[in-house]
Amino acid sequence: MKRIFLSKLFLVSSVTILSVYGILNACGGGDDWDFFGYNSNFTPETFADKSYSPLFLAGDIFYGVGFDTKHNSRFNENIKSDWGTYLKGVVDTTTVNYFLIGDDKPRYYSDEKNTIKNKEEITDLHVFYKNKKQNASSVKWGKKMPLKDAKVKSFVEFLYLAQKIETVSIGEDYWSYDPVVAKTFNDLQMIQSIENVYNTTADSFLKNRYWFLTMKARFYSNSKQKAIDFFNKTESSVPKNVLYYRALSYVAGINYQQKKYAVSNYLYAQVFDKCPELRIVTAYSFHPKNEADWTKSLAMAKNNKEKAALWAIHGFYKDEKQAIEKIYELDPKSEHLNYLATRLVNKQEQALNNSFQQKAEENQPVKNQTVAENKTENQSKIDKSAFDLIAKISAADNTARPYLWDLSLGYLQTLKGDYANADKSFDKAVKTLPKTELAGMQLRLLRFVNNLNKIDKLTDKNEKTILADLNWLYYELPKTYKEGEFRYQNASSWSRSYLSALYKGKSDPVMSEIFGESRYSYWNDGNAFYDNEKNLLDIKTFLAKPNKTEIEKIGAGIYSLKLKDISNFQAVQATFKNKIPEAITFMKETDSVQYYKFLGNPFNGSIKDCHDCDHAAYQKRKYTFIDFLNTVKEMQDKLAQKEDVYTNSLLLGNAFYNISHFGNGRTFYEISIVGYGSSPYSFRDSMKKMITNCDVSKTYYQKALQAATTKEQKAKCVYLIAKCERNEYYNNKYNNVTNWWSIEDDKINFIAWNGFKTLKKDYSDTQYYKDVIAECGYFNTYINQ
Amino acid sequence: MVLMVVLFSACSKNNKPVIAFYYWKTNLKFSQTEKEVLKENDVHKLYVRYFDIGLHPETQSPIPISPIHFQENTSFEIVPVVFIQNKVMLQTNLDIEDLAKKTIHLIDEINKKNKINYTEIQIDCDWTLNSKDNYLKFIEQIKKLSQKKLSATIRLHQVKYFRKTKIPNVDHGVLMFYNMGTIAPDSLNSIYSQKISANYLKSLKKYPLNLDYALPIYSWAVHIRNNKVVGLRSKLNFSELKKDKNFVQINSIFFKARQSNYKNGVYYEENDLLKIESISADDLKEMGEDLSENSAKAPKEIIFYDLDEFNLKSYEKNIFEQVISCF
Repeated sequence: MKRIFLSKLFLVSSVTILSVYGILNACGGGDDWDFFGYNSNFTPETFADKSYSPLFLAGDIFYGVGFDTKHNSRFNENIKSDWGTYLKGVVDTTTVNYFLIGDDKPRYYSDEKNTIKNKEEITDLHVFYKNKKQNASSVKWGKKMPLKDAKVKSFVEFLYLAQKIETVSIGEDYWSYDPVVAKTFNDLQMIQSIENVYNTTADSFLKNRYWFLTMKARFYSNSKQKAIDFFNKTESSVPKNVLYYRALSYVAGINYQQKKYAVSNYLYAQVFDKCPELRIVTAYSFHPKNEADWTKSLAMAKNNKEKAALWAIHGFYKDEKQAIEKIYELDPKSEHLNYLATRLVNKQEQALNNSFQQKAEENQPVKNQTVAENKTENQSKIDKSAFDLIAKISAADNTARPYLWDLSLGYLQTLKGDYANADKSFDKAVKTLPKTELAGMQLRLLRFVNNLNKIDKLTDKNEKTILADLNWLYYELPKTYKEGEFRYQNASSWSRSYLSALYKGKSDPVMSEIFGESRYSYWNDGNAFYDNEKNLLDIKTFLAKPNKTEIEKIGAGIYSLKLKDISNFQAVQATFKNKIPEAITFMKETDSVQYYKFLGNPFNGSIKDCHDCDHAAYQKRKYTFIDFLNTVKEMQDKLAQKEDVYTNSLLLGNAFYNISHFGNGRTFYEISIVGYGSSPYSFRDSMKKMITNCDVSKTYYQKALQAATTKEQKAKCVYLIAKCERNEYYNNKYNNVTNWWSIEDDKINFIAWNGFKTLKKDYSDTQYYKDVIAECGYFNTYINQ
Repeated sequence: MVLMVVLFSACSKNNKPVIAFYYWKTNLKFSQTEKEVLKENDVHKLYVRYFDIGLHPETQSPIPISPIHFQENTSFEIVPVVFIQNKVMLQTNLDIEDLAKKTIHLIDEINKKNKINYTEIQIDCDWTLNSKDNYLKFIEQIKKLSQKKLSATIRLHQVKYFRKTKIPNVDHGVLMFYNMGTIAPDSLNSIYSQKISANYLKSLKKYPLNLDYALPIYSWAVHIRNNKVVGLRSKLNFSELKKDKNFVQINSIFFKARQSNYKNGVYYEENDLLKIESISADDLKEMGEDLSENSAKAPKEIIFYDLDEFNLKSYEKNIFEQVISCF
């Protein structure tokens, strides 16, 4: 049975969202934060059965899946195992699966050739049974299974009929089009013959399956009411298995179509209750139109269990608290309580501010919070009635999973600042906690969050209460925990921010930076901490210190920057300040970085600034960073000796030009502390200034000009100086602009820089002048004005 | 009568643009009111949403979403409109030619099976700087492969910053004169604001592409919980909301849920807010005047978004006439 049709149910089209671009804003960037694991300490998988997992709290409709991904494959395993058992010893599993499911991959109209032919073969086999004449398929499959066996024949005939109905229940290709809204199966004779087999067969396995097939055929027919009639007539004799609940959800669907919402929702709730496989579908389909539908559904419930089922499904992205209250009253042992409780706790977490920063008004700098300020903010956000409800259930101890309520309560007590009672709740949870890895880790994590929260000021004594857990979070779990469920990432980042805030309170900027490094900065603006030289030296001292305390060791280990990165930054800074001997010393401290090679020749000076061209050009010698600095040093020494002043000055001008933003050697400065980016706006102001400044280069070009002896040499210097003037013009023009959009389009692409004027006036007879005209559009435009 | 005269004199010139509509539902079937409006306004052309293109949630390959079904035969000139989610165009490994082929193939198939002739295709995509390159190439491919007249929707910011956002190579554009603000819990109207539009109107004359205008006649309610937007509720009947005992009106645009309840299939928690965002007849005329004043060239068509009985009920019958008389 080919099952590749994509459910349209859960895909949001522009019709339902009214084609608004604003919708992204509306969700508050919902796209980025769909995965709740990153702001939660409470793993729902610890507490609720797998069948509920799509219903855990999520930014999307479903948790972990963007839509119902199993629409066509939900029962594949079920079907395979049912038939596999039935045909055991007669047909091998591979063959059974081949005919039942075939190829799971989606098909496009363009790749017809590659599809398998299991359906066609079933038709052939059916024909073979009918007219007793061998055909290609019967010959082929006759070798693999006993075609004469009654069970095999039943299997083939069942599939033959089932596939007829699949022509309407399953689509083949996303990019194909059917002109009707919903295909219907209107071969009434065929439906009748299916029902006849149901009526006559004595084999209970087959009878059950033909019963379902009759339901399915009627469901897809034009007279859907007949499906309900058939169901009502036969229901009592049918085993209450998955097939029964699938059929019951057909009945619910037909009622919905007939606008009998109360019945429909009542039935969906019963399927939700009894058939875990269909939980995601029924939760989605459950859809009271108004309050009356809902109350009517409730009135239809025959007993407490059925009522609880209604509240359970109602609680899905509705009002969890109310649902928990009602279900708890009706059936405290209900399994549905578990997933609702995780939603309730996760919802509390959602409101928390874990950034230790106060949300600022627009255009205001963000204000950092102290630990106390952060706690005050977060404590005010815990819903009191949710807390009371969980406390009540935890105390009563009469649910199926008491530890869920104890851990929930303990966690909320932590969040409210009641650390002593939180400890008690966790101790109580231990008594009923299952011995699974996940449950153990969950308890440990919540205890840790409680323990760290107890600390207002770090002391040698209280530090000890968190060291083992910090090691666990930062070092052990990332290495050893491979599954994705356990939510420890939030505790990992929260604890860093918490410790950073504590150190800030102690006026210890180094340790505050060590734990509070913002290494995932969106704009990639490097690390501004290092703009202050005292900070830089202090952190170097710290990192080099041999006798670190335990917590210092932990911090140094998670800090992404190492000594060599800082030395590298110092080397870059010294180079831009033209303190080359210093730069060489620092560069030598950078391990492998000093041996990185420039992509182009850093001593070349081109007419056009084109780093790609320079990178592609033939280079006789490849310069490493340290070679570069040593060569610069040599040239400077020679210059000091007045040796070959023109050439050395020119090459030094090129060297400093090339390591700037405008040159061919940007990799020299693109390091973590400076930042990365092809636009100067990607860098913080201090770095932007450093990498766009051409003053050093210009000074060397001016020296070269003074020492130049030929007209060609002079023309070259004048032009290269003009490039520096041009860069300066752009720097001034765009430096104060913070927003890319607000750059005024004044249509001035260039002005007549002095160098251009001189070049035209005094050097128009040089070859270099001609080269410049040929290559430099600015200049060409200028002379043609 | 006196009032009517005043209204008409506010804007009336010759060479009026024609009235057209967007049809943005998945099943095309006109209600009696819709039929009347189409007839009374002498509408010949409908811009019909054929399908969206989104990404398959698992494979991330582009797929069509909710293709249109025609449930009646129409004599209108139909322009198929394809809405492409920007995330499709943001894909770095997008096979643009393949997508263009599939798109045209599906449009053709829909037209063939519903016996519709067509001469024009419209592409609707809120492209951004990062998706610009793919989108412009996609437009080129559609143009090349379809051999049809091609139009594209243009957003206000794309007019103002066209040097950065570029202009798709189409025969003409349709300026979407709505969705101006952010859907937010504040008291502003995200559909239309004259203040916001003023920031962009001056750029219209400089825009190098011929533009028709699309004006909003839809309304919706913004569903707000704890000062956060939780959803948009379209087709909410406000007069009915006023009567609904589960809600209380707190000012001209805000309603509050007195207690948790289900309404139109949506669950409202106690104290949830509904902010009504709608477009009045005066708003529409204001848009007409502003656009007319700032247009380089008079538009040939004013397309109203969207044809739906619910939307039509909010206006007097002659509203569309009144709006186009502004041009």
